[in-house]
Amino acid sequence: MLSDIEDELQLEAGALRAQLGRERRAREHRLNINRLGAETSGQVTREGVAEVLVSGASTIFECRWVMVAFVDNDDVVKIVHSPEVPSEIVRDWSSVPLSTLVPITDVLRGDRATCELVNRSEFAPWPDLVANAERADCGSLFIEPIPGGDRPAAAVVMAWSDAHELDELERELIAELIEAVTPAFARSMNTEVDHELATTLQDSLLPAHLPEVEGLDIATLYEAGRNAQDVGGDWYDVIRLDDQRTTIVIGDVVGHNARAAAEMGQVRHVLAAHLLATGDPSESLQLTDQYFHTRSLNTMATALVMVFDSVAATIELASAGHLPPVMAELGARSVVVESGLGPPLGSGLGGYCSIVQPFPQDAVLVAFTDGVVELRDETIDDSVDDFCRAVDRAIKTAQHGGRQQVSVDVIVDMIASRVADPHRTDDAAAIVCRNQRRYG
Amino acid sequence: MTLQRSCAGISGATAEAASLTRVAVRYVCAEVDVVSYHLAMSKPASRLDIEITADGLSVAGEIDAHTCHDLASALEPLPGSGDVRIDMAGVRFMDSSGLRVLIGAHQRADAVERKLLIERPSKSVFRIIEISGLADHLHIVNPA
Repeated sequence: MLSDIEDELQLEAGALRAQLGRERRAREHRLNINRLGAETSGQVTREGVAEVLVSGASTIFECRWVMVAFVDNDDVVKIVHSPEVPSEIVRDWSSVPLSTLVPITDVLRGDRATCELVNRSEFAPWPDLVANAERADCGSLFIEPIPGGDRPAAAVVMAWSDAHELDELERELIAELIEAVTPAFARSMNTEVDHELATTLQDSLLPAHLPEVEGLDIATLYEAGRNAQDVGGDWYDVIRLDDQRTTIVIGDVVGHNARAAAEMGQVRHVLAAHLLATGDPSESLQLTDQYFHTRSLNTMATALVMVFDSVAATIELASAGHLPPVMAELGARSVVVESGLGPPLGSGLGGYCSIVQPFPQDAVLVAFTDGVVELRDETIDDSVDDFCRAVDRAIKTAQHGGRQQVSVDVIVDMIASRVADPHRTDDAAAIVCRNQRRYG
Repeated sequence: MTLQRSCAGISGATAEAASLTRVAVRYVCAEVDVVSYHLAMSKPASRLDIEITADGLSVAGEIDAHTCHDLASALEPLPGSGDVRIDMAGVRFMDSSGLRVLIGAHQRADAVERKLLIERPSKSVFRIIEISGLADHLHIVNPA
């Protein structure tokens, strides 16, 4: 009798343990799905969301490979996939027009709610897939759309080596997974549109061509922020005043997005008009400050105006709350150049002044926006000092110990590689000039 | 013999029960994990804390494009009826969007003959104010 109880207990224990094991695994999967949903919310592009989804789904489902596909603005299929996806599939499915005959496009177009191919005989409508299935180690496919607007925002693809039919738990988990990432896809689609608008505006409002200035070698850089909310506002400009004097401007409109890009266009032209009319940097800043203070309460910008006098070999600097430029003279460490300093444009506080500094032959002047130097963990002085040392290193590398002139492109290239840092979010601009006039 | 086997069986069952308990405990732990995770995610840590004080605000955290709106709404309308004191000792970082908010509030206070006092800014925040050409315009009190 005791042995009967024992057997019953063992049996029940086994069943319970199996049940608990299953439920615990399901719990863990659900925990992972929640984590994944939270992680995707930090992503601002569909590609970013897709990357998180692929890596997460690969750990949750015991399938051969995972892929996420979405359609870009030109109706071309983009895919993000786990490393196991065979090259044949990547070749056939990636960067192809939405009209291509592959299983994924049916779902992405919204023609099919889901695509469940539980064994190879169901691959028949897609001859390329039939031809590649053996080599691609693909026995069954499951494609589920991620809801978007008119058509799906994306589609998730899972493949198994053998014939595989989803069980109830797998179906539930996939539904939960899709629910968890849908908001992130919707949000990133919106921010992609915003990003595109701001970038287009910004590009069209920056000078398309800079004037040729005798005696001045000029190079510029503008790099949009990575996040949609971090595009727009930085600008540079070069305005010839007469045969002898040229104004170089760099500035940064406070705020981000299409609005900042549009305001940048206004500030750039109002300031340029005043510079052309007055030829005076501090007076132009004063007039521009008043213009925006009285007309547009929310517009605020920092700007640095530098008037290069090619005969005197000087530069007259007036700043409206902008970071000072850095100057590198041949054979010397680069230093911060003191400018006449006043408050940001649009503050209405006024009180601008300028300082004239020497700008000798072959010296290089680097003006930039805070996106080039700003790192949160340092004080601004340390950041600018780091930047000076980076300028020195770039020059030293370019010279290889010699004393030849340094091309302005060397400095711009160095800045470009600095702002390629994935941790940087703000947009960044720089204008680099070398006095290449020959003096006596 | 039978008794011996049964004893072994019972102790086996006890061991099973114990291991079941362990499984159950892990199960509960996983549940707690999920709950605490949800709690943590539902309220993202705010990067800017604003506290209303008797004669203004006490601000701590980071003031940038993403958080400056909270500061702007705390200063619109200006709190209190006299000078407005903003204790900034706890602000680790401020960028130009924070400056725009401070300038706007400064101008509005000025228009009604009140003062916006920026108290105890950290060295790095004070440098941002200085480098932006605002040190002679804003009222800074006890910079670090």
